[in-house]
Amino acid sequence: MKTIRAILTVFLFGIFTYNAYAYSLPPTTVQREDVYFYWIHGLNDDYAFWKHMCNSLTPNNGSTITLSYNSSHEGGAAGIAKDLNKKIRKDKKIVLIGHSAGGVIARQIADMNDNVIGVITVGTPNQGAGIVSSVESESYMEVLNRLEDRIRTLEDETLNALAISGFPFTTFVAPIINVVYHFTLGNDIDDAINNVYNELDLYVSPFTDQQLFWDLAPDSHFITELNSTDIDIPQICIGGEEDKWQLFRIIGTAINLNTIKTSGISQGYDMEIIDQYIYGALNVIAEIIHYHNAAYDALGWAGIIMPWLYATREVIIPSRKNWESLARYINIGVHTDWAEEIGACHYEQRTVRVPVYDPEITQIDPYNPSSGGNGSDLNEFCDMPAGFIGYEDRIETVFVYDPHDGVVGANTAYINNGNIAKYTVQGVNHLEMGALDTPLKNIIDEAIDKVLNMKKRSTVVISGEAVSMTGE
Amino acid sequence: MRKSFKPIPLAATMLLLLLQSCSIDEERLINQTNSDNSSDFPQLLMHTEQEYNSVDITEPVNEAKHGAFYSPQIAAAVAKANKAAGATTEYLTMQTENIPIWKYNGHDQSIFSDGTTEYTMKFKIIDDEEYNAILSIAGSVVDFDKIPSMANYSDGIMTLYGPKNNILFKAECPQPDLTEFKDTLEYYVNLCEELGESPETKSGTTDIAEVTQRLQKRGFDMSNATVSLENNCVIIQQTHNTNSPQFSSSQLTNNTPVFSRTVLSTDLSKVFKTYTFSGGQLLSLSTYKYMPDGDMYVNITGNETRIPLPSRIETMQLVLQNGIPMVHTTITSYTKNRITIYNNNL
Repeated sequence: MKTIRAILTVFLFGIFTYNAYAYSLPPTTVQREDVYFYWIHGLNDDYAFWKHMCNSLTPNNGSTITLSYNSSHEGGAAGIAKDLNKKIRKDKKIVLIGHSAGGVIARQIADMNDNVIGVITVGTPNQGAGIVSSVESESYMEVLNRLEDRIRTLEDETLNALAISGFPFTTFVAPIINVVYHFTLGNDIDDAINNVYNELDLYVSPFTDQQLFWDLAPDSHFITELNSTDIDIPQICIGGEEDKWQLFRIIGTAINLNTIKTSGISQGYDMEIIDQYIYGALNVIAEIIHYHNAAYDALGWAGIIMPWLYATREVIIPSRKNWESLARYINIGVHTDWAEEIGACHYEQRTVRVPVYDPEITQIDPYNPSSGGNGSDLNEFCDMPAGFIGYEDRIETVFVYDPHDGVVGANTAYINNGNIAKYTVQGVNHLEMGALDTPLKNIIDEAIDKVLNMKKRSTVVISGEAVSMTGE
Repeated sequence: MRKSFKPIPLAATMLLLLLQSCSIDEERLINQTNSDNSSDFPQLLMHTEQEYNSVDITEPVNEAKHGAFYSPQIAAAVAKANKAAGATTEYLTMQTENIPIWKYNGHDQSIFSDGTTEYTMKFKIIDDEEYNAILSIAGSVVDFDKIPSMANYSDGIMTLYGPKNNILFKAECPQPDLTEFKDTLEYYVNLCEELGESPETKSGTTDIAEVTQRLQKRGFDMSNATVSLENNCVIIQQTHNTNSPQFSSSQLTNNTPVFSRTVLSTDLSKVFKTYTFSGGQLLSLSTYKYMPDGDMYVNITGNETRIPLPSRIETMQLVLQNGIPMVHTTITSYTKNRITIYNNNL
């Protein structure tokens, strides 16, 4: 009986103790003035990254500190976290705010520092970044390989199209072939392709030398360990809606290039080189198209005197069209392929219902079914424009953003365990992060309030500019 | 390591320097119609001015629309492709870059007596809003202010401009040597003169022997060809070498003989239609239209020859795209089409 009582006592005490612990936790209600805010930048950034944002959001009375670290730290994310933890003061409560890789470093610090009462991660690949896997497997090169294959095929087709044999064809076209082959295809395309490969290497190589970069892979030891640890403090994850393939935006399209140029993020990129390979490629294609036109015209006016030439000159048209398609691809399409290759998006075919109209009918007669009526003023089509005759299903190709994108998109940024609130807001991207006039500033402001006042495992409701939000 | 984008070979650099030393820019314009061949300045040999709207459409072979191409062989290939793709509808999935768009094009080129050239190309998508609506499916909405809209090549410099004449890109490009082309022009003009008559003013004939003779005078090889008269038109049928590269790329010839059929006016001045066939299968069909009393012509100065140019060309070609027979249609509708050859400067 004593034994049973003892067991029961221990059991009940255990329950009581657990509940007492759970329910006796006060809300971590603290004032901003009582907290040190440590702002941690992302991979290959520096302390200046958060400068404007942190000064405008948290009191600049010595309690706002931007931390800096060397992204090439041999110890990777864990080593950086260990070093940064040594710099953190121990005399006050701490809130950590980390961007991108800085977010996972902040979580790692929180695991080793009891003074940390909250973590806010912004655009952080908490589930790992697919783009790291893409770099590891070099699948991101596939777009370029396909582009190169396509250009080589076009070269062959072009030379075949222009190399129309037989006198006097050669007389008319040979000089143009020489120009296309030696000056346009022979050199410039090679240079353009090499430039893109080289630039991509240059862009990626600084990352590939860094352990921190590899620690961001979804299946890395660091991410796996971090996500298996339940850090029992309030955490808020702010994910991004835009710029899902920031790394590759830079080698995207002419359209993106201009966006980059007019934004603040061109700093650090060699815009001259980027200009060369995007507009340079378009430049080369313009030359090629010109010589197609020249050959077509030459055979045209020659054909007036020698009409048998007409029969074969049309072969130039598809070749020219293929180059025009390539130019259009470079103008608008490349970045979607990059995004697809690194898992940020894909194309889907969907069946959609679309209304069908009879263009001949301009007015609805409710009693005339053929005009859209069904014999009654209260017919189901009465709100439809005249001529509506029903719906039909069509298959459309839709561009779908994948939740697990390559950089910091929605699900990638969330933590699947722990006490978290999730926000997905506009402005979490490298294009806008530095700006103060985006919704992000308000969201971080609100997140700071929440993290200071959150009960553990509480549900957080956020209003304002958040696109979507869930919480626990 | 990075390579420079357009390395200029030494020879081309020297050529550029040579051209620059000639100061051909303004003097060229002043002297372009100067008939004094002893001048140090390059003379204008040929000037092309074109403005046209065009569209490229690539679509699966459709019996109603492309009846001439819809042979039993093609019908079977379409059915096979549909079955392989598990297609249950006739809807076409196409790449964004193949969505047909009407474009305005401008083309202005000058070729000079020293074999140099300069040209300007203008291009503009006619319906921006429709284009953007289509492209939204690809997650891209285009800011048309950022799209290259003009390319100019002059004095060895190629420049890309945006729609507001803002320079997007500028690069040195080697001057092509078009001196051979000058010989071509000379050959052509001499041939016109040897014929001794302008095709435009020449009367038509229904005498097959005379037609044949006229063609032979132009250098036509009759060994693989027949000439006939049908419906007041001249028909030229030629057998072509199937190994010719222009046909091998179609992948449809299967080494069967390729022959073409060209339909002309009886005065041989205008082509109306051209067909190419392989093994009885139509590969391409081009239709030419002319403006009555239009001002679209080749003008050879000196002998004042004027030869009509078409105002509209529609070309349909059978192509294989991922193994599926498709018809690629190109429509070119000219608002200006004029070529001037300065005979006196040759």
